[in-house]
Amino acid sequence: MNCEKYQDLLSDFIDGSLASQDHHSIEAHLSACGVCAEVRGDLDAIVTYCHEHRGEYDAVPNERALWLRISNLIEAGDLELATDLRTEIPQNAGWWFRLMNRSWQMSLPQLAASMIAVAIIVSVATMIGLRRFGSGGESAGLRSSGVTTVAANGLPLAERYRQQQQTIDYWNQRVELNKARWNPQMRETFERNLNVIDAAVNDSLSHLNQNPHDEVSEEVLNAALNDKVELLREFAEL
Amino acid sequence: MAESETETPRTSDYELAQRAAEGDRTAFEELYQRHNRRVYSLCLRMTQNVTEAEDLAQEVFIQLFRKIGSFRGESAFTTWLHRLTVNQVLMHFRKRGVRLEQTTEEGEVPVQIVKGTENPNAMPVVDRIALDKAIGQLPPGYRSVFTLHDIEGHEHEEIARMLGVSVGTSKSQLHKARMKLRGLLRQQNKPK
Ligand SMILES: [Zn+2]
Repeated sequence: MNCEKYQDLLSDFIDGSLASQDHHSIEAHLSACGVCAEVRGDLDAIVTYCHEHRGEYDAVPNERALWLRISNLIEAGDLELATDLRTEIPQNAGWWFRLMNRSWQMSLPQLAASMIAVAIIVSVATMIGLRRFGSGGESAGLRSSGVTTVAANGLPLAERYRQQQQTIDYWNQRVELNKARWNPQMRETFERNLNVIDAAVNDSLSHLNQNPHDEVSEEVLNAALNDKVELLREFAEL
Repeated sequence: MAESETETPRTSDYELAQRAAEGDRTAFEELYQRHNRRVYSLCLRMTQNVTEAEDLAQEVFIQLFRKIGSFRGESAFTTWLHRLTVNQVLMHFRKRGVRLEQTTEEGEVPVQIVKGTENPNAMPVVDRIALDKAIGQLPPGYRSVFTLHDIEGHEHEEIARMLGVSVGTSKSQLHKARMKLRGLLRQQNKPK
C-alpha cells in the first residue's frame, strides 16, 4: 500500500473500526512514515478535541426572546385548533388566545372596542416580555402604561398610518412566501382573522373620513393596524 | 453534589413531559429552560448560521409541543428531543435543496492527499473558534456527518439512517470532513 491508501484508512484507524490485520499494517507504516504519522496526529487532535468538549453547548443569543416567540406561536396554534374544533376556551389559555378567540363571538362595534385592548396587551406583552413575561401582565396599571406606549409616539395620524402600512407590506410579503405551505385550516384561520381586522380598519377609516377629529376611531384604527402587523408577524413564521 | 441529597429531587423530564402533554405550560417552559441550549447548539453546528439556528430551535420546540403526548419515556427524553432536532435540521436542508449525499460542492477543492514534503503550515492547537470557523467552511453533507459523529457522538449506523445514506458513505464523508478540517485549520495558521 502507498501513503494515499494508508491515509484513506486513518479515520477508521483512529475510531478503532479496522480489522486487526489492517490496524497492525497501518501501525507499522506510521512508525516508519513521518508524513502519514503527522496526518494521523492532526486528525487525532481534532477528534480528541471534539470528544473532550462533548456536552458543551452554545447559549441562545436571547433565550427569553426565543421562548416568547415559541409561546406566542403555540398560542396562535391553539387559536387555530380552537376555531377549528369550536371548543371552549381552556382556563389556562394565554392572553392572545383568549382575546382573539373571544373576538369571534363579538359584533363589530364590540370588536372595535376590544381591538384596543388586544393591541395594547400585545404591545405591553412585547414590552415587558423582554424584561419578564409570564406573571399575567394584564393588570390595570400595565394596561394604562400600554395606552401611553401606543399613543405616545406623537406622530400625526397620516404619518403613523404610512409607517404601519410599510410594516404591514413587509410582513405581508413574508406571509405570501409561506402561504403555500399552510394547510387549509391555517389558511382559513388566517383569512378569518384578517377579514375581521380589515373590517375594523375600514370601519374606522370611514368614520375618520366623516369626522377627521374622531379620536376614538383614530385609536381603533391604530390598534387594528397594530393588530394586523401582529397577526401577519405570527403567521409569517408558520 | 452533596447538597442535592437534602434537596427535593429534580422533577424528571418524563414527568414534565407528561404534565406538558396535559396542557401545563409551566412544565413545558421548564423543558425549554433545560434543553434549549442543547437544541440550539446542534442547530447552530449543523447550519453555522445564528438566525437559521434560532428559527430551527423555535420550530423544534413547536414540534415538541405538538408531539409531546407521544413521548412514552422508553428512551431518554434527551435522545428523543435530539432526534426531533436532527430531523428538523435535515428537513430544513432538504427544503433548501441541499443534497446531503453529495461529496463535493461545486468549485470545492477536493481533499488533498498529503505527500512528501509539501508546504508545512503547522497544525495549530485545536480550539473552539478555529474549529467552528473551519466547520463553517465544510459543505453541509460533510458538516452534518462530522457534527453527528465527532461532536454529538453518534455511530455511523445511526447517522446513515438519519441522513438516508449508506454506512460506507457516512464513513467516507467523515474521513473527508476530518481531512478537510485539517487543511482548513492549517491554512488558518498560515503565517502572514
Ligand atoms: Zn505514509
